[in-house]
Amino acid sequence: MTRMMISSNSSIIRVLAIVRKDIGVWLRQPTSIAATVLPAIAFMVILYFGAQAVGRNPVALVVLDSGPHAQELVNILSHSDAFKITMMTTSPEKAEEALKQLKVAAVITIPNNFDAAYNSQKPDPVTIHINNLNLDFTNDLRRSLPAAITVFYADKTSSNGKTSPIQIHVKETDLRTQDIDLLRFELVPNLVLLLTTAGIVNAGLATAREWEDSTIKELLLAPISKMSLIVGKLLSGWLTTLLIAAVVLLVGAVSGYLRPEGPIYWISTLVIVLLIALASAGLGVAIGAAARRFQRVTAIGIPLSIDLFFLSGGITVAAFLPTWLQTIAHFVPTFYGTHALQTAIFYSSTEGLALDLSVLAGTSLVAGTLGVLSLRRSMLA
Amino acid sequence: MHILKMSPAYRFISVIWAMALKDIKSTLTERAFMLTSIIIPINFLLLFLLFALTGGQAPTAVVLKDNGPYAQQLLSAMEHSHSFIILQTTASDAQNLMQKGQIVAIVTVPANFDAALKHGSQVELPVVVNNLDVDFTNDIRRAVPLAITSFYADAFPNQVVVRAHEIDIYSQDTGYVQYLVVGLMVVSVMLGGLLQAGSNAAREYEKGTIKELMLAPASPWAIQVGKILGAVILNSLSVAVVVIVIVFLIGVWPMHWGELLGFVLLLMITFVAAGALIGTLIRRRQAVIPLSIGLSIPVFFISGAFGPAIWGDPITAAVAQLQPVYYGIAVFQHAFHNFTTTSTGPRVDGFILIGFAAVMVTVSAIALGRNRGRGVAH
Repeated sequence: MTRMMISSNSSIIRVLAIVRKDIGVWLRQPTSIAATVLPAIAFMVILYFGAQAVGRNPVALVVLDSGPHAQELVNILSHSDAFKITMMTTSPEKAEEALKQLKVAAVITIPNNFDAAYNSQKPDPVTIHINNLNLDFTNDLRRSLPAAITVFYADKTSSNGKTSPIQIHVKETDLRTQDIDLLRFELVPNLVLLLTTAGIVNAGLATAREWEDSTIKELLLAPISKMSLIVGKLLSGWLTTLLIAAVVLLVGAVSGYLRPEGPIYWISTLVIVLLIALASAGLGVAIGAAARRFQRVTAIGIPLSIDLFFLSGGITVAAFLPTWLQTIAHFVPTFYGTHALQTAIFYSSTEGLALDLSVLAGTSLVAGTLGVLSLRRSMLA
Repeated sequence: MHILKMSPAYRFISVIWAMALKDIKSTLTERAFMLTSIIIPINFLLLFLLFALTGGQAPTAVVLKDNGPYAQQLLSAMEHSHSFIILQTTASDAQNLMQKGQIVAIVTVPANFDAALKHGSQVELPVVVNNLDVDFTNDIRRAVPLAITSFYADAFPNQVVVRAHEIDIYSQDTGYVQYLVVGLMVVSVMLGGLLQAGSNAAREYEKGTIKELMLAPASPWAIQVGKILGAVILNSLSVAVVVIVIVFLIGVWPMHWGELLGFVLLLMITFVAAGALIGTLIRRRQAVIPLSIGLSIPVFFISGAFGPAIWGDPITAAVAQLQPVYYGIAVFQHAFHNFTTTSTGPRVDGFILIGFAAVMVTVSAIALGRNRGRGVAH
């Protein structure tokens, strides 16, 4: 009994020695840290600029009628959140020149008989001249003018005192308790990207380093079991990943951007983070042992993390992807991690948590086993 | 002939060719990395295309409890609103699809829809929204009322007389994917160039061969130009694959082939020179990959890949105009679609790119030359 305890204590000490060595080396390698955080930072920059630019194309407004209805429409168009009026003029030529010089994406013209046509209930077209370079923002502009006309009619009490002619009223029911803005929503897949990159790259580099620096010979000749070495490698990859996760979660909680409400959701968030980090570290050890070279680890690890990021929703919302792509996403473990974190952090919900946790636990087990097998095989070789 | 006995011009060219050949041979011995440098840009191209597939249209179930003509007209208005991917289904199927996350909204047209409208009474249109994030949710919130107004303009033209009359500059619309792949091609050329040349340059420091190069009786300009030439030749493999995917697989055919090939070469020189500079400065191949990816992604996003950059935030647009990807996307848009996407126009953009290429080659050669002046330590 005593001998067993001593043996297990010395195994723990050996494992911890490997962990301490790997973390110490990692902290002295700024390039490893850069490799870990750069892709996530790059995507954060993208999201920031993306959130600023969403659907706000510059538009010129030509107003040829000064009647009250025309002015009302001008007012609605000026406050549209679908585009920004950067030029308001009474000169169609000036606006068309701005369109030609790419200063604006479209020219909206309110004709000189707008009020007269409206009052006499005759067709009253408002023209939009669009630089239709691509369907995405062209459709934004196509939607924006009818949307403004919708507001125009919704606010309307016509001249004869009748209310708006539109009798259909939308009754909206939201499935979620709150709306989350784009930037905040995308922080979660970005956190998952950071965890997968950190796990794969850090554990991968720590493992490959032993071959790159030829220290694997010393480790194999040292009086420690192969299992201690494998567990140490896995544990160090896991801990470095968790270290990064802790920093992000702390900043997120303090700033309020990533703050789960209540202990249950904190616990589920932490369990999900632990599982993603473990799965990534396992995969990293597997890649590191198979590749045995720094360059190969980064060349495989970073694109792989980015692939997982994109396929789990990434910079968009998975529910808006085509069905075939959603089907593929359901085979990507990080999809479940992203879903579980979003529901816990933003919606204080455990919807689908059992499935998410099962998939992540299964993935951690498979990745860990893969790491153990790959490292064992490489050590034997 | 001994190198010192050659004429200076011949010696310069010989060094360039020898360097290019050496780098090509060295890279060919590292097949795994070579394959990766071809795969990574293609991988990016395909991943970002996934982003384009969302296209801003909300997958929406419409439950028609009334099949009258007005209900059908409302459905048609929704289908033509450029906002929804419509799936007409039953209430229970719609709930199932919502639970599976395959749709984001359910619009239910009530049983009394036609009757209420015929009598001029109010009718409620229930809309259930999976309000996942505010950007996508607001698209749905805006799109339903505009579909209703469009419906009224068709069904009751005497009541809703104000309509949008659209005139387009180009006779036909260009799909989002067709537009986006052009920007993706530029970033693929950038990524491939940075990876290839950056690794080639850093390899000299990792293996210590930079000392021999610096002690050789050759100009650092010739050495760096040779390294750039070698990387351009190697990078052309990755670029060729990207062009094949875009033209033959995705089906985006360039309108001006000559322009495309000329600008591809110019961009390859620019980014390969930038990669050689990065490799010379950071001296570690391990850091070249994350730095190249970390640099390419944000630059791609701010440079007008999704639409003219000058229509976006003014500060971002000003920053974008300080680097070559902005002009690269503009000249490629012209070569592929005959589009003008910058206020300067494709001709001036081309000259600016020539300037960037010259500056990059010069700076990278100076950076290498400074190693000789200071002595190399790695």
